[in-house]
Amino acid sequence: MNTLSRLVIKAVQDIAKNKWEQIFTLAAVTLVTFLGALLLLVVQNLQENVLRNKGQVKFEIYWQSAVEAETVRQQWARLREDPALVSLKSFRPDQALEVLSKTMGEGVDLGWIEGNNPLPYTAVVQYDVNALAGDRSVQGIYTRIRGMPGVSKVNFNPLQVDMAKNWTSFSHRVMWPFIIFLLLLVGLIVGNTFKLAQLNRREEVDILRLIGAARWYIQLPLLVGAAAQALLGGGLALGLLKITQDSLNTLLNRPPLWLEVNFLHPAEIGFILLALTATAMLSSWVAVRR
Amino acid sequence: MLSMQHVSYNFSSHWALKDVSFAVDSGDFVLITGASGAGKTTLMRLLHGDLPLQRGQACIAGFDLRKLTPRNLPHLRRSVSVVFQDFKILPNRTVAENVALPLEVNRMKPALIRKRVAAVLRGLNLKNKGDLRCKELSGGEQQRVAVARSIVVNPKVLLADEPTGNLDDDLSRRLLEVFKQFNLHGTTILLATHNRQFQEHLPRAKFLKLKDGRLLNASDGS
Repeated sequence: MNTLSRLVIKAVQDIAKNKWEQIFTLAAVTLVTFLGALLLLVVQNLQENVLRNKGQVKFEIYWQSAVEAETVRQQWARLREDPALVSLKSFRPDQALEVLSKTMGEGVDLGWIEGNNPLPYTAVVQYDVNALAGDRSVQGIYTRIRGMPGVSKVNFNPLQVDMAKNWTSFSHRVMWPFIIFLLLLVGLIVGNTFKLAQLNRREEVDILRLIGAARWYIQLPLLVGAAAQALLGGGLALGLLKITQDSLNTLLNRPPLWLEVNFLHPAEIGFILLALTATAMLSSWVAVRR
Repeated sequence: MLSMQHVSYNFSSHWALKDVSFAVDSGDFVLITGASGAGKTTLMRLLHGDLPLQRGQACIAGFDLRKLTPRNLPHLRRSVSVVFQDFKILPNRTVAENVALPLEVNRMKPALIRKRVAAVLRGLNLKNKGDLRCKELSGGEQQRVAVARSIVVNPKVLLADEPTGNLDDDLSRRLLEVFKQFNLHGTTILLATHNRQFQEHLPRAKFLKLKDGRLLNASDGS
């Protein structure tokens, strides 16, 4: 095994020494990275959800309890034929009961209601406003749906279309610069954390210099160790973020919100890990250079 | 092996060394004496490359200190070992790990390192302490670890700056014996101390006496 490999192995083994120091450094890196990535996730999903609805309008339709199943199915089929339709999510009463049961958590058995299910047929219908041709309008669609036999209630938000346009301007001027500033702050905190951790090894570095170790011999284990910790911390942070994303989806991706929370893009994940590693190595190098 | 010619060093506020010149042959044992602040540590630091040469010329173990660069400084330090008054060992590492450090830096194979370390620890009565952390040792034992680390690489020159400063008389004498034994094997030793009693225990040593940065007179034991 040559010197280089031994130094790399030594770098990883050194992480196991000074356990509490390493644990606190790792915890700090993980939590700060998690917070930064969470903010990025929230803004990105806000952006995607709002822009997805740009020029689109969503209707939530509730049928009466006593309506015939065949009537509702025919109405769904007719809605699907509309060329301006973007998406239609439909729910039978039994499907709605299943969603309700999941919402109320484990241990709650709603099976006894099945024979006498009070929940109605529901649907969430999305139209592309820009595709509405001729004299068709959002209000017209609302009136048509509301007038369908068996329909009890129709909800829609007329402000949704305007919101998409305003969000784009807001996000470019305020949100994204704020995000960049926060990510820089995360970088500074992570960098400082590593620098402080390496300053604690100053004594060891000085002794190695005194006994004739070359600069690369001293710095390589420190940089490799810092990189390993950064990758581990970044990995843990992304793991935490994944758990958070799943929890948010459970909460938000259901009636009436139907907000799907997507994870970060692979390029963003790669950037976070690369930036963390580079920051850790640079800070470590700064801490022990003379 | 070692020479200084008209070396002076200034610490911005005062001259720590003034026009110092001397020569040391290979295998010599040199005692550098003087009160605190006489310039002993500055001399040692210059010889070890810890301070840059400002004025004069100096050579040690084949290295011209005027031509010292960050690239060749590590090579100098592999030939010239130092023992400090404050030990400068890693308290949380074991005795064996501390002593093995210079050998690892010299890229010796692990099996050879273990052998060499064991031999040196035996020679310094630290045979059963190899697995102990240095912070668990007494002051005398820690100083012996520092000495072990400095001699394990068989340096051409050994610089010892007040190595017995933190030890009692008995331990100081024992450490001196270790240095004498090592010198008998051919290593040139420069030992800086303000303890005048060492002269009695080193009849064959050469003496350099410093006062206020100047060399008063260099003499051999006779």
